[in-house]
Parts: sequence; structure tokens; C-alpha cells
Amino acid sequence: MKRRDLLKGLVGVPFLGAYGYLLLDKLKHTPDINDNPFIHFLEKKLPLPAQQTPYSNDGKKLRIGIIGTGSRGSYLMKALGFLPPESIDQMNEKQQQLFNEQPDLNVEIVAICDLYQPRAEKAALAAANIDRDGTQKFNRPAVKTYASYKQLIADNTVDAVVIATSDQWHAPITIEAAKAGKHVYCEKALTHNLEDVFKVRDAVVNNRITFQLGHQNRQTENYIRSKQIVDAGLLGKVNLVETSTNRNSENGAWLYNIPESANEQNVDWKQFLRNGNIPFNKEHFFRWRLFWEYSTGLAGDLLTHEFDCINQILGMGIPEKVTASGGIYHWKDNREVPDVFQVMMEYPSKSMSLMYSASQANSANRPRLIMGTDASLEIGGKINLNVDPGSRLYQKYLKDNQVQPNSSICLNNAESLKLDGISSATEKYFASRGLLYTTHNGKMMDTTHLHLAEWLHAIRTGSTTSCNIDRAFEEGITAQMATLAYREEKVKKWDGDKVI
Amino acid sequence: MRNNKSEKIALTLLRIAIGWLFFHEGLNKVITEGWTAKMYLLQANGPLQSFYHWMASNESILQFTNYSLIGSLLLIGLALFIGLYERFFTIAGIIILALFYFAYPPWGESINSYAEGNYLLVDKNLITACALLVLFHFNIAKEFGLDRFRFKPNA
Repeated sequence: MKRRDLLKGLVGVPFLGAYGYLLLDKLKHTPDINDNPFIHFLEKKLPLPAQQTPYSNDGKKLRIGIIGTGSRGSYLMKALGFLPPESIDQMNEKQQQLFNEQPDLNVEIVAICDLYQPRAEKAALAAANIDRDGTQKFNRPAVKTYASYKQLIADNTVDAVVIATSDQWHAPITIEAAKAGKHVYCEKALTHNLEDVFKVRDAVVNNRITFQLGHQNRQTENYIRSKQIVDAGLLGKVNLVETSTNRNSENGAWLYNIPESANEQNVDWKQFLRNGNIPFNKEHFFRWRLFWEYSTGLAGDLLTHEFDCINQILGMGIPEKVTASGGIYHWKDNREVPDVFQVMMEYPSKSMSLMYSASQANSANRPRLIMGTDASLEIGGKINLNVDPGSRLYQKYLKDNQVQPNSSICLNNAESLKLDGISSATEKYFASRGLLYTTHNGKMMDTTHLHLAEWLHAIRTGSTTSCNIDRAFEEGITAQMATLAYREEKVKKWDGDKVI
Repeated sequence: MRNNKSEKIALTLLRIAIGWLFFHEGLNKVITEGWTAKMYLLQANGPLQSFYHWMASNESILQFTNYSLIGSLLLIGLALFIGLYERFFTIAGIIILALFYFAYPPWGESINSYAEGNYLLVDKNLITACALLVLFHFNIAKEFGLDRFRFKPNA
């Protein structure tokens, strides 16, 4: 072989050698992240979160009654494992997989109550669909339906009720169920008026039932992690919290579909009204969130989620002083509740403010921001810690360039979740606020399912729920203070016993 | 191909550069602790997104995808570096680049944070694939590379 041939044939080898040399040199000079004292400090302060509690589904099969089967009531039924056969047909592959993987909670839905007859009938079929079948295989009789919640609660075969009615009925139904010894899962907001908050608390406490308020954020891994970060003192002293609601769609502004076939014969209008004598109005019935007579507006509907999320992390409780402002600035329809809404909640004794801001006509992504003297925590799909340049706690690490001021350090373990093909715009909004899916011990789970599972577990074992009546009371009072502050244009104060 | 020395050197350098790119991509994934294609696959968009999502759909398929990708990048990179089985590995490289291209197709839709740069139809993957197509046709390793010994065993 000629030397020339050999050189030509092996022409790539010196380049390979050069590559190897450069790579080794680069690796030698790359600082090892494990040698960074700042990272060591974080690791020491912030152990990996413990495995979340597995909720047992053993023991007695619990018998549930569902009161209110509109969009939220149907969603709760799905989270319990029950869907109408036609909804199973309409699911895409990914949705079916998620639904089928959802653990069996060992419950049966034995009774349904809804004031719109076609909806009650559909829900009664869903409740009967215990095998999660599509229309082709499904062949079971519908479960019983009741025209009134009182009849459902009086049914001896019902152990517990799920309440997903319009806001004005949450309190009367919860109180009636508690008095009958039935456990309650109630959707937010806790009540429609201030007096009811106290009455509901008394009924739940005196009758010793297991109560869970529908703030499924309690199950979200990111918030559990955020609490750990705050408790570890990584933010320093928290003095300001910003949180918000940002939506821009008809559905997000509660302009729900009004069925053409709805009429006075198939809608129980008389029972829908709690007070007053308003004539039959389909818009009021199907879009009740827009009217004060039935709704608590943004304060009860969406502020409560944000408040409870921060309360879960900081445990700050009821604000001592609340002011609110806003107006109907975009949706110039028949609505009475504001679509742009700001609430300032003051906690002088805890030296902090909580600022809530909502728009139903803009969907900018404003993350929750918990601001402390040493760092801020941004909580959205990710949890980012931003070290404050003025921090004393991190002074040494900042000086030694081991951490850059105000650069995001991601502290969550949960992988970002893929939602394409699953969700609508409103669902994506809820997902981005941690209200739809979370990872639970590494698995993607519906937060509402976990929240219901926790409630059922508490009924079976006597343990407490994460959004129990004490947390619910704090939510209820705060929402009422915000609504009253807005409607009366007054500063509302909490003296520890009552709102003044 | 014209017998022009500088053209041959240029083609050889192009092949080595692409080999370098592939090999480093592969090796970097080996030395990055816990590296996985999962997020890349899950965030994929375009008409073939369900295929990419499927690749990340369960642990065993994902593991297979991870190992195959690393193995392919290293093998293609090494082969192009040293010029062995050049025609086969240029085609393999084009296939891998096509998979990258269609995972985040630069067809003027929303900008994805997982794919840097601003492109319309043509991106770096497509250009590299075109360069590999040139190498496939010129087959320069027959002269500058180990393929020389395959084609001229008595050289």
C-alpha cells in the first residue's frame, strides 16, 4: 500500500482526534453543578417532596347522590368515573386512555337531582354506566332521579352528596345534608351570602360530617411544592402576593349555551329561585353566573380558586381589610357581575398584602407571584425562584456569583404536561393555573379526581380533608367580603368574629 | 466528478464537519445525566405530531427511541468522520434529519421555543440534509476516507 493511499484513506482520523481532545478539555473546564454551594444550600433546605398519600378505595362501597348536573356536575361525575355512553364515543384516544386509567373509587352514584329534566336524564344514564361503555355496549337502566334535593337527601340509600348547583343553593343544600348526616362535597363558592357562611360552618361542625370544598388546587403537586419552598424560608419574609384570572372567550366569560328545547315544562324554575318572584328566564337559568341573584360573580367563582391556592401555600387565612373595584367593561350584555375586577386584601398583623386582578377580556399569562424579602416565587405551569439582588439570605452566594439575581431557578419536579388534543381554551386556562391536571407520584392525574378521592378516603377513615370546613370558612368569608366591598363600594373589615 | 483537488478537499471537510456535528450530538446525550427525548417528542407539532407523541407514549417505546437516536447519531457521526460506508450513512443521516425536520416543521406557524432561529420552510436540518445529499452523490470517501480501502482493496 502506498503511503499516499494510506494518508488519503485515514484523512478523517486526525479530525476525530482533535474532536476528542477538545471535548475532554471542555469537560475538564466545565464547572460541576454539584460543586455550587448555592445548589447545596437549596438541596439542604428543600428535600425532595414525599410521595403523595395514596387514597384507599377499599372498604364499603359509598353511595353518592349528585345534586346539580350541569357542566361542573358532569365533570365531577367523570372524575368519579361516570360518563354518559355517548361522551365515551366522542372521546379521542388520549382522552379515553386517561379516563380508563383513572382509578376506580369504589363508589356508586345512586341518585341524581337536576332542575332541567333532559340534563337529569342524561346524568342518570351516566351514573348507570359503571363499566365505562360506549353506546354500542351500554345496556343498563338509568339510576333514579329526584325532582327536589330534599327528596334525594331523605333517601336512605344515599351516604354522601356532591353539590354542583348554582351558588345560591350551596348553603341550603349543604345544611340540609349535614343535618341528615350525609357527607358533603360542595363546589365553590361556599355560599351566596355572608350569613350562610356561618350557618354552613355550624351545620358541618355540629353534625360531624366529612366536608370538602371544591378547590382541587389542593391536590396540585406544584402548590404542595410551593408550600414546602415557603416553609423552608427560601423567600424570606413574604410582604406581597399577586394573583390573577385572565380569560378571553365567551365560555370563559360564562356565556354558556342555552338549549332551544328548554321551557317552563322541563325547567323547574320555581325551585331554582331561592328568593323573590322573577318570571321564567332561560338566560338566568343557564347563565346564572352573570346575575347577582344566583351568583357571587368573579369573587366567588374565580377569586376563590386563587385565594385558596395562596391560602394553601401561605396559610394566611381571612384578610383583615378588603377593598374591591372594577366594572362591566367588555361584555355589554345583560350581565350584572363585573368582567374586570380587582381586590386588595390586607393582612396588617402578618405584614402582607394580597392583590387579585381579573379580566374576562384578556388572556395574558400573569403568573402567581409570591414576593419575599429574599426571593420571589413565580407559580404557573412551572415554579421559578428568583433570588432578589437585595437579599441578605443569599448575599454570600450572590457575591460569589453562585447565583444570578432575578434569573429563574426552576424548582418543580413535575414535568410540563401535554394538553393538546385534550382541552378547550377554558380547559387550557385552568390547566395553566394548575386546576385541571397534576402529576401524582409521577403519573398524570385529574386534580378533581384526586380531590374527590381524598374526600372519600376521609369518609372511610375519619381523616381530614385538605379543603375542610375551616379552610372553606376562610374562603367563604373572603369571597363575601370582596363581593360586598365591590357592591357597596366600601372597605370591609374582619374583626376575628364578624365582617364590619 | 472533476478531478479538482480543492473541490475534493472542500467536500471532505464538509463530510467531516457534518460527522462532527452528529457525533457530538450523540455523545452529548450520553454524557448528559438523565437525558431523554421525551419533552422534545411531546412538544412536537405539525402533521406527524401523533407519531412523535406515540414515541413518548410509554416508557419502553421511549427508552427504545432514546437508545436508537443516540446510537444512530454516534454511528453516523463516526462513519462520516472517517469516511466508511459513506453512501449508506449519508442516507441514514438524511432520514434522521427528516425526523428532526418534521418534529418542528418551519412552515410559518407559531414560533416554538424548542426550535431556535427564524425559518420559513428551510431550516438548518433541511440544509444539512441537502449537504448530505451532495455527499451521497459525490461519494468523496472513495478517495478521502476509509471507503478508499473498500473500493481499492489493493491500494
